[in-house]
Amino acid sequence: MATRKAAKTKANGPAHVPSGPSQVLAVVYGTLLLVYLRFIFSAGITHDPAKVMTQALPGLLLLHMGYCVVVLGNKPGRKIGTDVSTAMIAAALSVFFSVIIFGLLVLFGAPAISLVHNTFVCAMHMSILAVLPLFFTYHLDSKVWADIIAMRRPLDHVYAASVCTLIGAWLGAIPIPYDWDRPWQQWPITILAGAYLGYFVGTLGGIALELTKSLCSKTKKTE
Amino acid sequence: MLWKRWTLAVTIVVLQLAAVLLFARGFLPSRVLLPGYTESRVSTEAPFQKAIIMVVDAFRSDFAFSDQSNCPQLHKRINSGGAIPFTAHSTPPTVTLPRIKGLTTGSTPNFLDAVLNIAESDNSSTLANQDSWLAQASRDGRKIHMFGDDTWIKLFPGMFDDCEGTASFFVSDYTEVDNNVTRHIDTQLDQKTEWDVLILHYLGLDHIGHKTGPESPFMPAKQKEMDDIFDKLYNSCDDDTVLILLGDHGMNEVGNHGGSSAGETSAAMVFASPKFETAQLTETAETSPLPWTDTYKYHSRMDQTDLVPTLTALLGLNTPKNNLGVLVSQMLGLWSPEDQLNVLKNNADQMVQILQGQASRESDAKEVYELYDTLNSNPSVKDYYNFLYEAQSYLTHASSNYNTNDMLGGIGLGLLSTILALTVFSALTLAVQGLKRLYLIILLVYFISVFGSSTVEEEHQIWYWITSGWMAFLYISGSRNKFGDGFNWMFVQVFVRMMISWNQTGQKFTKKDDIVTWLSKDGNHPVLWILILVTYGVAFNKVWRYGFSKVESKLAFLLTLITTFASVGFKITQAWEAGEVVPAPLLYLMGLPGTLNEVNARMAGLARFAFSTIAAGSLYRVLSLAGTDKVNLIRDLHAFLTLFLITQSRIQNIPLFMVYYFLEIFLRKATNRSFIFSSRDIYQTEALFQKLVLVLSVSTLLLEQVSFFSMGNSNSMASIDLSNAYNGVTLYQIEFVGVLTFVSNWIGPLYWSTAGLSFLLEDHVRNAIFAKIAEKNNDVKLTTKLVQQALTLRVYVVLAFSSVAISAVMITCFFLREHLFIWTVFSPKLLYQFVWTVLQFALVDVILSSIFVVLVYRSV
Repeated sequence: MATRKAAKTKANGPAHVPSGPSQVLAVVYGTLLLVYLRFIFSAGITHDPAKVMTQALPGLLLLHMGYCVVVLGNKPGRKIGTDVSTAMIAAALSVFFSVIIFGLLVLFGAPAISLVHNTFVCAMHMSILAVLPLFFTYHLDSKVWADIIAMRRPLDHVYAASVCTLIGAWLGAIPIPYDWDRPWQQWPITILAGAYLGYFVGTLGGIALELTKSLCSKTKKTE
Repeated sequence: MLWKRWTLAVTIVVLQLAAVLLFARGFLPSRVLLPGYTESRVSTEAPFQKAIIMVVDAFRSDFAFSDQSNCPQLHKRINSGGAIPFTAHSTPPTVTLPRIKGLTTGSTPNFLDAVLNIAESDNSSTLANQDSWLAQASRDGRKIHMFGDDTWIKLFPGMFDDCEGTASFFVSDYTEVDNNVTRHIDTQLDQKTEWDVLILHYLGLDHIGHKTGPESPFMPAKQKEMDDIFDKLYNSCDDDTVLILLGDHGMNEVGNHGGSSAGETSAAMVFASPKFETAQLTETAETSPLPWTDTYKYHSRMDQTDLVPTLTALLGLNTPKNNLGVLVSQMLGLWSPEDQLNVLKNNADQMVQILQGQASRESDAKEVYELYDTLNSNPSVKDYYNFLYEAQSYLTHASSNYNTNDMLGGIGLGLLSTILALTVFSALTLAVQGLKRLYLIILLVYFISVFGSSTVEEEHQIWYWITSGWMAFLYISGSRNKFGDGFNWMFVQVFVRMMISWNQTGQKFTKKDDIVTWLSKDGNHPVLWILILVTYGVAFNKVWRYGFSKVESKLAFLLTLITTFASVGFKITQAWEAGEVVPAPLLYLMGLPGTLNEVNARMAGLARFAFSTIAAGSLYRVLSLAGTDKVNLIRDLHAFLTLFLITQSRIQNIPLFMVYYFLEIFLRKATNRSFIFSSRDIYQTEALFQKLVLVLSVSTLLLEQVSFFSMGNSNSMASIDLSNAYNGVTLYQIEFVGVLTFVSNWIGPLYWSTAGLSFLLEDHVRNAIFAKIAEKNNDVKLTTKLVQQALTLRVYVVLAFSSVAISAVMITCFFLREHLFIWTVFSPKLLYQFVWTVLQFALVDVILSSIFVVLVYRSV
């Protein structure tokens, strides 16, 4: 089974994700997003989740597009203009993709009739966080996307961040039923926070994996 | 090897049972009560010679006092000062038997009383040898007459000079049960010299609550009926007679009770007498009715036990020995200032005895004793109340006397069974380490969740959440094999999601909208009934094609038709009888409307007919076992079981069976795709086999849990559904009612347990795989062996969970035994887990399944 997986990775071509200084920048950016989340909280998300989350959308979109162009696009021989337009297309696609994320949220227990606005804005945040960099990095390569959807791509830090965004959102549901009566237990604040934290953890984890992999291959070469 | 494992499985089951019984013995001790009777008191003048106690079961405070109440005569009397209203706090468990104990002995009941209330035949709960106001009246030579709920007669055998009991078990009777009480009133009022205390206990209002909720169309008329009786009794009262109208407990938003919500614990209590109109007992006049409030607090507050010292003082009797009640201050005006102090002294002297029996002066009760000491020198009324309230509060909150050795013993046995179960489970799943770890994580999450009161109240959320994660995991493992295969698991999740939205349950989000609320809305009943009929169509198809598969097709069609018709007919009649809106053509089909007696008889007949044909069909299917036909036996019996379970469901839950049907289709497809057709691991048979069995067993277990909660159940005593516990039963037969109660509350788990067994052992593809493996090894007997191995693994999946769960609950109850919520949250959970462990897991999932499979497959 293991050999089959390895074979597949090779078949899908060289790595799309830049390494080196970009990895450091990715971690810095992940931290920046946590600051942004803190900002969303201090902007009064507990008073009116839907409104504050909606207002936070353009900022996230710009930040993420900037991250794609500056960090993820940082490869030799690239054209900034192309990257900017790719980022814009990716942004548009990720906004459309939020419909699917919304469907997933409902499937995993989000209220289906009440609080639709809250859920949908949360889905947009998640979609921008998780899907935009994927579109930017892999474009519309159907083979790669089949692997992404089937969850069988090797975990580079872009893909790991996306997967962990979803897992984080799922784990974010845990505090909701408790009787602490805290305002942040409102739907979907914990889900949103879980998604952002998941993104950060995923980026870190992905980079850690990449580093161990390159270390292993280097030792193999020297042997 | 296999034989050893099954012996061990039986050992684990026995260990669990012993653990639970031992733990219960230590945890639910019978209360230490002071023996004997209060023999003396400071003699005081008795304001009244006679008392009439009118108990209206589940008479919630707002039914009596709010502007939505339909009791105009009562309101008139409150306004004129002839009736003094209270909201009486009813200590949980809010069910009749412990409440009557509290209202007569003045002691707070222990949790065991709640269990005995369900198993009403138990005789150990008699109060014949305990002090109560009835005992005091009886010892004083007063005559007591009792009409109504026969719980009283069971509790106080031989204490009534005249009595007639009405049975409280036939919940669907609203009228007859009350008429049987009311018809005595005229005779009793004509011969007032014959009795000193008259007790009337009306059950109709409670029955209406259980069946159709507090907003039932029957409710206003019933309140008016009670109000008229109150008025009649009030008018018959002279200055020597006091009339007390009270509810034994309240009810929650859906009409059930047992728990500790505001609605359940707020009962009405009214002291009434023409004497009060002139006596000016309260400082400010009460006005009635008051605006409705969701706190259910109206007028003054009192504890239900306060009735006991008040009533004995009013009648000039000794205060019962174990009373924790405090004389109601509003009544003091009936005595001279001297006697006011004397009646309070009686109350205080009696209560300090309990204090002495329970705590020494050196303990944390020191302050209470000091308050008592102040009563030695010229005490005022205020001094008495300071002591009485402090003592009441101390004694009601004092911890029960747990036997910690028994509790620890129970936990020890539970842990032993857990270790055994997990060890064998581990040994059986050597080839699938990843999946095994995942299941252990699920067990760990559940184990932790039991320690939080919120996560016990909201346990369904845990299961919904775990199930969604499990399905995501299966999606990934399916997709990784072949793109697209995983999507079948997402379809399974779609139907799980539909189940979840069917009933909101738990505490925190109960009031949120769910599908049942929508289906019950005015004007949506045609949708509901169309869904019900389509569901019956699906069930019909199953019973015809599978259930009666050994009968000639045309005859099978006919048999299925009459069986299904009896079941549908029963549900239609039951719905009409409960006051639900049923489409006219269906009513016409069943010859409705009709008189209540006739309809009740017809309902019993239809239910019995449906049950008999289902039983006969199943028996015929088992007896017509022949040769290789054994393979689909469980599937065929499951068809009959489905029809039986539909008959035992609330009508709004019936369409859920259609959701189950689709879920089954996709579950079958998903397992086939993920593990059979696209599997390239076919030669690693051991791993494939264990993976398949483990995935199916865990999925079944999760579905058992999800379906249990999605039918509207929870870990609260109040959510026990009794509305289908008496189907086809006309005389109270504890065995039948017990079985039907279990079945109608564990519908989902019973369905999925058997469906899972059929999937695992009988699905054609799986048989093919077994055959294939067998062929490869040139051993025909291997199929049988594999079936038995599959069953063994499944049994251990269940045993691992049930041991972990029961141990977790016992450990929680041990460590949190002083916790505020121990009796309202954790003890009910213990009882639920007891039923899960003993009846669902041990009896159905392990013992019955094993016996069945061994019998069927022993000679393939």
